[in-house]
Amino acid sequence: MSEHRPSRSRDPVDENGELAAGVAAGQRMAFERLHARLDAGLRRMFVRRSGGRGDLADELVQQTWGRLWQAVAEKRYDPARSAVSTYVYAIANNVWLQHYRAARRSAAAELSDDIHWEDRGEDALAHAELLDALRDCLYGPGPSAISPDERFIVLELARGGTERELASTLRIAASTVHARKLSGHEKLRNCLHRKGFSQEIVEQIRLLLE
Amino acid sequence: MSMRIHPDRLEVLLRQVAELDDLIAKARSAGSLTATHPDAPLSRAARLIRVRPWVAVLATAAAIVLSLMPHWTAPTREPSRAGTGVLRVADDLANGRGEYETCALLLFQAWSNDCVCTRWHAREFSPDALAGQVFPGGGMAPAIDVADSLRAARLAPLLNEPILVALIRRPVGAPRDDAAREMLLNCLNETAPCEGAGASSHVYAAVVRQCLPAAVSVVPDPLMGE
Repeated sequence: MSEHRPSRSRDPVDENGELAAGVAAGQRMAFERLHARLDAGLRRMFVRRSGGRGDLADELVQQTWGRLWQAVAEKRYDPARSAVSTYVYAIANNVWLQHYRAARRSAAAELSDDIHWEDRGEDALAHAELLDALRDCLYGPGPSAISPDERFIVLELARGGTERELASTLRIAASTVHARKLSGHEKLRNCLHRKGFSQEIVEQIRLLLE
Repeated sequence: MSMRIHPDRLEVLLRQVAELDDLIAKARSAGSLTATHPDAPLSRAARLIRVRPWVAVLATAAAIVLSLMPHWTAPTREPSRAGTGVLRVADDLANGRGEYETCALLLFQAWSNDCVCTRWHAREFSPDALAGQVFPGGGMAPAIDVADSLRAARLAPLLNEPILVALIRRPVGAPRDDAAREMLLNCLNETAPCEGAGASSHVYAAVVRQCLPAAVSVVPDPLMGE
């Protein structure tokens, strides 16, 4: 991941970067503040992903914070490479994927998978770096930047909306929604490529393999 | 030669960014957001009001300071722009002093199911809300949380159109003047371009200025989008 160094987007929950620096330095106060900001949102995310299982969500949230603490202790979080909230999200996604895969595999396979994942401490940071780069492409300025309409459409579709629903909401033809989605995707792919994120790089990030 | 990211991978990433954005929005609405020391007194230093990059709705936002209601007064000191997304507000202006208090008024365009069109809306952050959301605890850069408040008002979908952030100074305890607010919105809806994104914040600010009292000063620079 050394050939690219994307311009990191500002962290909306840590505008001046103090929180990320504090977390990276292992400051307990910073960790507690980050926990206070993101814990409830993480739980909601896991509840949604697990189909309403609050007990499982609680367990996965705990695992997420544990992993973060461990990563910080092992100096694996670099605030210069990713926003702290993005990094926490990447860890949470990692935790979820491990749970999801483990639930589908035998105990032996689960064990070997865990060992393999423990050896891939770089994954969450690389994943967070990629997500920050995409957020830069989505919200950043520039002559080839994605337009507001395209941004709205690609994000609403990513949230589960349909082209027909968006067409109705925006009072435009469904074919126009589709065309703007494609043009938005094209701009984002080009933007990521300019930032050094090729398909080959993405394939190295296991957390994307949903 | 390296290949660009496959479309299916991009869609996975976009789902994750949308989820991350939601997580961030929830984080900003948490009461403990910036409360490092909840009992600490408010700093006397100049404070920052930050309008956070909530999706792109604020991308072309502009800031205005106005004396909107008949008995409201214009702030004695205007806010200055202190960087992308930041309005620097003098301490006495931010907190109010004596018989005056400061509120924030957000003016924005959003879809309206009533008229099946895009219309201007206004949402006021009271002194209490400012205390809870903008200055929660002191010592940290305060934030106006617009995302969840607007979503809670069920005004979505918000298009990528300007939001004007107004700081209003009024006598302590003065009732909200809904009629004056309605007059302002009516004026905006009749004058300001409602359809077609892309107009610059300067264009919107110029149009909005027409609906405001002469004494109102407008800061047309975008708060976000640099």
